[in-house]
Amino acid sequence: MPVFEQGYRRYVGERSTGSRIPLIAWENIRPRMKWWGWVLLFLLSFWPYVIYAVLIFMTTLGTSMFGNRAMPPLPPPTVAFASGDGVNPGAVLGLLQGNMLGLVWELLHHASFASVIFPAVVAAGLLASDRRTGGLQIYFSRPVTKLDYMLGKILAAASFVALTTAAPCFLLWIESVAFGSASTFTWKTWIAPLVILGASSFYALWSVALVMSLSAVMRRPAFVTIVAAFVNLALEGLGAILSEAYRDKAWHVLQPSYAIGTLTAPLCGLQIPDWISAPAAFGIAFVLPVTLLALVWWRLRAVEVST
Amino acid sequence: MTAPVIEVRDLSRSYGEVVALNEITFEISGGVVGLLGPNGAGKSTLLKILTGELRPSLGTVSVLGMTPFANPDLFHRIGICPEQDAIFEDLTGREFVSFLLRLRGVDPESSGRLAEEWLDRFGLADAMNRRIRGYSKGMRQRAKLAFALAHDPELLFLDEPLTGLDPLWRHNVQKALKEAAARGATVIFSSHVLYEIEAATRQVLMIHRGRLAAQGDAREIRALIDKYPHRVHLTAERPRELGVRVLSWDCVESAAVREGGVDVTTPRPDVFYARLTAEASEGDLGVSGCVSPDDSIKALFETLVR
Repeated sequence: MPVFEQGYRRYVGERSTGSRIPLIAWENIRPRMKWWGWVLLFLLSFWPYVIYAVLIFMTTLGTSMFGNRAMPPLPPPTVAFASGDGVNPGAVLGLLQGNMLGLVWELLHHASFASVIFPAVVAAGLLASDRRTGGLQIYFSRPVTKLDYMLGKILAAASFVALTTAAPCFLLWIESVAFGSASTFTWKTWIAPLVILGASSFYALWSVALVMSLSAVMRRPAFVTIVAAFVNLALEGLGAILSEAYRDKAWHVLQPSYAIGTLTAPLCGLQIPDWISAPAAFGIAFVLPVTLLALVWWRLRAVEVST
Repeated sequence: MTAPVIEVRDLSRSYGEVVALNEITFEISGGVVGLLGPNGAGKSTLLKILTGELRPSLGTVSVLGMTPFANPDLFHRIGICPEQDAIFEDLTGREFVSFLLRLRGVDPESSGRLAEEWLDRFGLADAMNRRIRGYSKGMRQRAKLAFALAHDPELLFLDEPLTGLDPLWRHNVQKALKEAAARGATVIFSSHVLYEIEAATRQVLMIHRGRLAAQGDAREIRALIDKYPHRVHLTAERPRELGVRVLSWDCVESAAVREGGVDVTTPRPDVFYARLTAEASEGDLGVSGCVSPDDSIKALFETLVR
């Protein structure tokens, strides 16, 4: 039985005036991690890493254990998209031995679909749920600015993207450093963490902008997930179909994975192939998502908590 | 002369062509103030303007000397219990209150302690580590009251705080509001039931169809409202037994079993609520909810407006 006559202890401690962004991000990540479905999704998102990890094992420890039965490496490509859309074990082995940054690019390219689907499922409700249930009223009647709120939500969504992009790349890098031969220890090996962060940011920008912009206009998280997956699939399909139909690979730029891959290629020490338009890729992979996030901000700034 | 805590001048607010508030002017200097009006009168809109969630369409509003809309400086000093209860359902009660305290700048350790203390005060000690998704309406209401009060605000806004609470908890919450006022806080709470307000304060602002219909002493308003029979719907596990029992009370005019509960009509609501609370606290009444339709208050408003 509650006792209302009990002594009331007034809070006399410090009140922080610091940024609320990390707190908002963390409290939006934590409850979603209690949902076990995300673990399954996460594991499904990790399949490129698993293949790469096995290949690394085969080329390092595996060679000594299994002799020459291990797959021979191909010369590492110097141009992005050279090894096609599928996982080419020989190319991966070649990159591992000769171009760690190229390997990062390759892994990110293969993880691009998961980098949209995973946050689309897990983070769909970041804005939508708050709008549907009155959470906005709770946030905005506290000393939280709309910028704090939006950046906190972006940080939460970006963290989910990072689980499918930066996290496996870092694991791969650690694995390659731990098991690699001395000849692989070059400046490219040590700059890899920065490159991973930079390249992953482009994937995060696209996925976060897509999910957040849909979450800002829809009230049901399930719709956000479905539409985000559909938009991404539709763009991927459209680019592939048009490039086949017109026998012109330039249409691949419509595919988010190609547009983002074009922007991240120079970061990873790869050349941009001459058949893809870098300005068009910049428009799709950078200008479009930044515009979408600006629209989310505009919508949020104008919001009055509706009755 | 001290400045009023809340000062509202010629306030109007419209949603498209619908006028929710129409040229309202009033001042509040402190204490507990009840905002009385039937559903759709404009109470929630007024509270949302006072708490800085909505902009006024016309007029000026000053709360603690500040313009409230999107003003974080003001939000440090106020506490809010919103009407809706489908909030942060994936958090536990403790995480919920603690998180909102941390948003206010309270350090993590103190926010955890305060959350536990206030959830305990509102009878949620055993449920504080369960997700809010599994809370009943009354439990959600008490969790919201805990987060509204936990940071010791100077000014409290509570939108229909007694909705969904059983008679005993209504009494406890009314007591908590008086306690907050005794500590120096100003408490503004809305209701469509005069007797809920009267149990906590005599200061009443009456709103009807977006206009300020009256401002003053609750007893004067009750003298008018007592001309109209007051209806109460009690939810109970065994409505027939409850119906027979309340019908034996002198203050009850009629009782009819309906929709998993009992519809009671009483000409003496104050006596009825006092007896209901007293018998509920003894624990054998079996009442799990108490709702009062606003038809009597509507009738009064129509009279006042005429």
